[in-house]
Amino acid sequence: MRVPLSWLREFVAWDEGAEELASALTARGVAVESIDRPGVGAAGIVAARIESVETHPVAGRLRICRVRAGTRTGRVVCGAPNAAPGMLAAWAPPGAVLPGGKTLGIREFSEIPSEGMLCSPEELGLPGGRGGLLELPGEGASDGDDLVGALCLDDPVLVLELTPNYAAHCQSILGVAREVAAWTRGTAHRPGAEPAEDGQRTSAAAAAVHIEVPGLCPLYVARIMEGLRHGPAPLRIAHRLAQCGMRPIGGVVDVTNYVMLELGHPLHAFDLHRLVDGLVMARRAGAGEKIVTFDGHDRTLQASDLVIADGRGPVAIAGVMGGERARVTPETTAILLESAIFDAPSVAQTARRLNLPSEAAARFARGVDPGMARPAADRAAQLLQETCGATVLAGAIHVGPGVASRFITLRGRRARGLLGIRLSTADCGRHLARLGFRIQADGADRLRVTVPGWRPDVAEEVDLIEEIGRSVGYDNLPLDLPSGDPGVELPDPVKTAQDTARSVTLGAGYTEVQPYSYHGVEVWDRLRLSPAHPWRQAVAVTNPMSRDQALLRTSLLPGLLQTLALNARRSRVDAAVFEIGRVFLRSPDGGRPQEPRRLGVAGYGALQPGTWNQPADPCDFFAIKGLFEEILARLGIGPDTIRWERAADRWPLLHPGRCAAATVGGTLLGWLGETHPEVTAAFDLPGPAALGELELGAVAGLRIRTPKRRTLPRFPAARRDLAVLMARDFPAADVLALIRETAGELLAEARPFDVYTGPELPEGWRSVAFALTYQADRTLTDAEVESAHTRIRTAISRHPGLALRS
Amino acid sequence: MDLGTGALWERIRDAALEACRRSTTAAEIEQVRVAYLGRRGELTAALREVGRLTPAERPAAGEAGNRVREAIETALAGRLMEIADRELVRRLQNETVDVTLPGRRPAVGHSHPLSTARRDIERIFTSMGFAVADGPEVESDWYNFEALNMPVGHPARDMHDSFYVDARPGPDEPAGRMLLRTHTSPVQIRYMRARAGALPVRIVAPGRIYRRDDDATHSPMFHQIEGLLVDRDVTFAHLKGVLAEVARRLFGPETGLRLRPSYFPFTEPSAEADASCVFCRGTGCATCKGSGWIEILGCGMVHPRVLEFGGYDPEEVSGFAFGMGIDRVAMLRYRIHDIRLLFEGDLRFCEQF
Ligand SMILES: [Zn+2]
Repeated sequence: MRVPLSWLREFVAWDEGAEELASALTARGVAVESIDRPGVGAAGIVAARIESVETHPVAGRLRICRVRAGTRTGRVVCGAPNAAPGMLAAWAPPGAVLPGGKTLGIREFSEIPSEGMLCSPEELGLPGGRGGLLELPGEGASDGDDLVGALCLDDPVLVLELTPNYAAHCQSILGVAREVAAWTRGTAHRPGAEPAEDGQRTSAAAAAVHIEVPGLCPLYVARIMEGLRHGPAPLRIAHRLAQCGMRPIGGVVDVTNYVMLELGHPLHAFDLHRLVDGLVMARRAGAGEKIVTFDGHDRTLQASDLVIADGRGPVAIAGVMGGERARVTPETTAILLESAIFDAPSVAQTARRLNLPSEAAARFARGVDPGMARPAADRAAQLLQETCGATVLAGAIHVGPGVASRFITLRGRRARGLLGIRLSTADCGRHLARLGFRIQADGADRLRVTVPGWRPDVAEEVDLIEEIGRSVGYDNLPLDLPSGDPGVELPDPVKTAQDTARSVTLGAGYTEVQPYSYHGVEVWDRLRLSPAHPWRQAVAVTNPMSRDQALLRTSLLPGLLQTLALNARRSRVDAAVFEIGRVFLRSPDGGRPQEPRRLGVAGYGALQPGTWNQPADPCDFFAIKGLFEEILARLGIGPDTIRWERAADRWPLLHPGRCAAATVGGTLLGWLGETHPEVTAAFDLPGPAALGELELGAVAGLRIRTPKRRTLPRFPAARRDLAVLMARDFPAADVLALIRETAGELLAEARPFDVYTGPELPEGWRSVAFALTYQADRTLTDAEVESAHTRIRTAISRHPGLALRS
Repeated sequence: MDLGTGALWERIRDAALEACRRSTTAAEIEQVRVAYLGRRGELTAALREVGRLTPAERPAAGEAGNRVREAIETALAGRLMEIADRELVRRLQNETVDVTLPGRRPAVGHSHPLSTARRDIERIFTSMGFAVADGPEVESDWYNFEALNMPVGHPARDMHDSFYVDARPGPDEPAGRMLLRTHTSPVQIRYMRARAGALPVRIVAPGRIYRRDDDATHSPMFHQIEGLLVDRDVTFAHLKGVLAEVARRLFGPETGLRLRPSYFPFTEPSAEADASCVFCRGTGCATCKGSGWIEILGCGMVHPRVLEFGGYDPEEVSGFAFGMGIDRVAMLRYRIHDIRLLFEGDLRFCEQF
């Protein structure tokens, strides 16, 4: 909604400037988005009659116009196609200042000097109308008039951004004026609307109105006018329509639009002579009934739609759009002016179904003040009389049961309790009265509040309490802090797992990213997923805006790979990223999907790039594995309890020899690996990426333990090394298990520290060196250590597939 | 040899001290020591000669000889120390590094600005006694709209242009379409129902939300943190008090808070909260579009119908709720002008935080 201040001033007075007004309205909930000052600085622009138009002798596209403004004449070169002799145009002669500050002079166009310019609406800062001169209407203006004043070119316009609740009562100058009046504690006045009626003939005798469905059309007011002459609207009306963003088109429609903007009541005019039987009827459409709306489209109606029909059929979709057949044209001389109330949900539904969001429908859909039906009809009649020379027949046709006033009971206690304010019940009433509510006392603490017709948004007690709140002013309401016990927060193990995963991963050098929760189907093909792969069992978005929003992710890894690919495209040498987020797992029966939380990590290149005195730390399989081991260890899941197994076929995106699943007691906790060479290529990565995913829910499910203090060893430890020969595919973990089994309780720690393959070893064999630490709560003798160590050596040398390397 | 007159002693001493002075290494000092004080050293030999003197001559000569020995020993020790000092200095010089070469920085990752903002906001609320709650992102029409006082056809639904998904609500939920939640407000209903009438309800719920919107300031996926407090006698004044405190802790102690009436179907009275602009201190700048205020959240008193949907009696309890855009807080704080940067994952961007 756009509100020209000069128009608003016709309804209400205030002293403050536009900025103060805007902030006062905003503070009342009528949000002023901006103050539009299209014509600020304009000066010296006058109305001028074009007396002759010649084609430019050199530049055939240009025309030379001789213009007259009062006693002043001039020669202006212009390129507008609509320049024509006799036209009244806006002339900015030399010395005039255009909106925006440009001062005009004399300028030559292909050797013909031009004295200033003739202006288009755009050049004057008026909305609408491009590619031509502003054509001033013949009536109400004459050449020589100062247009800056007449057009209110420097008039500020408030641009409102209305919330749905205020859309009803603030979509009019009158509505905004009521809010201004409540602010200034003044009164909003409506301009007088007393058309001079033709005393002889009455509207009722000239036409008939019948309502078949009072539920959908509780009130229909009609006025009849005759003897209309079509012409452009007076300058003031045309300009105001333009200021409000509507294109003036002349005649009756400009007036009905003007009254709608002014009073908030949509009006519709029918050509009286084209209404068959001089009758209008508000009825339900027949199923499949058709109407050609005045935009020329065929519309098929439903029984839920309300139409206005004459003796032959529908002439309008009630409250939404008029029909072609009885529409007002420049030839129309008599009209039936409709000012009705239609059921809001019904209009909203029809407008939405037919995709016809007209200004009228928007207002009816929010609810229209029944009390304004007659005044709006009278105001339009008066303006049509002034502008189109209409003869207004006496009285109006009033049909329908009308709309009953609504009452709401307000409890003062409730208002005070919700707002946290000391305010007597009577004062609550005074605030509401200022906003147009009628108040009656109803017992000691109760008010019976009558809701004015223009406030369809106010439906219950809390709505009244909000009205009191905004009348008092939100800034004037008190401040307090809640007392009482805070809620009890139970420790959430998933959150603990998440926090630990996060801090360890950050510390390990991975940077957090937030990829989208959705992706397109083609990502799966780049991941080598078979059509039946579980990742493809995704929840689909049924109305995505683009193809890459089609599916909810079933793994964090596709998003992370795309992130790596983006960084690789941007020439990044090393990249390591992670995300903690949800995936969406389709329920087999199509019901509510599961949304487990996961940690996803991915990287290529180095975690710690090499420096001038340090080799690089690569982001590879073992980097991710180590990260997962560290996270799990800190959550109380020690490396000895985790089972790592290669699982090549479950994750086809991974290198079949460099991928693993981690399980604890059969529960899958995570998986990781390096990308399959085809995936590396499909994502254009500079080299293989290492990546993995950890199920935080499953991890948290394994009872996260608080670490317990252990006694620190007081006696020195003894270290022995052990090199074991084994086949390449013999798991080192099995050797470790064997060592632990046979060592006895003196063995404190055993870990592999070197893996070697070389020509002196048999083909397909490798040597793994283990460091063993023996320790006890006393000083160990060499003999004791030697005995334990020998036990281990013996066990290994006897084990099939293992041998000691000397 | 003239042990008696002392000339011999002086000559030995002078020669030894001179040799000591010329020495520049510990080895040379050792050579000097051997040459004079060793078993076959010059001074040792001279002292041996003292034994052949008459008993009357012996004491004086012995004494003179021993003085010379002491003098040489002292000189050698002193010189040795000097040499050690000089060697240490030289060694330190050799070990000197170019301090302008870059340090080896630990490869620590960077927290995403959204996580940092979310955690900061969460901490403010948890310190004020709010628990952190959570809810699903795939939500039913009932939780996302219906129970929040937005029945089918409600005009406010137009502002929640939703992504629908091909799933059905769970068996114990009302039937209806499933969508990606358009706000975190469904957690209000879920949490209230889980609390089953117990008081107080005092939570914040951060999370991802989705709307069909895409430009420099709107992303189809973004983040919100919901807040809800339900108890006896909760008033609008409490809402103002809590939010003013939050604004100060989030944007600095000078930050002012302004509430403007607004509209949300699930609160009444409703308000939009603005914080005084952190960039211009309220005088007007490009970020606040000259107004001096920056919109930070929507809030209000929980609508009676929403309390009823949550299983609470609006005549017995009242509450307030709010929803704050986490992306917006992060964008304000770090001056990020295009929301898409947050989700793209360009490490050059992420590593700035
Ligand atoms: Zn600012």
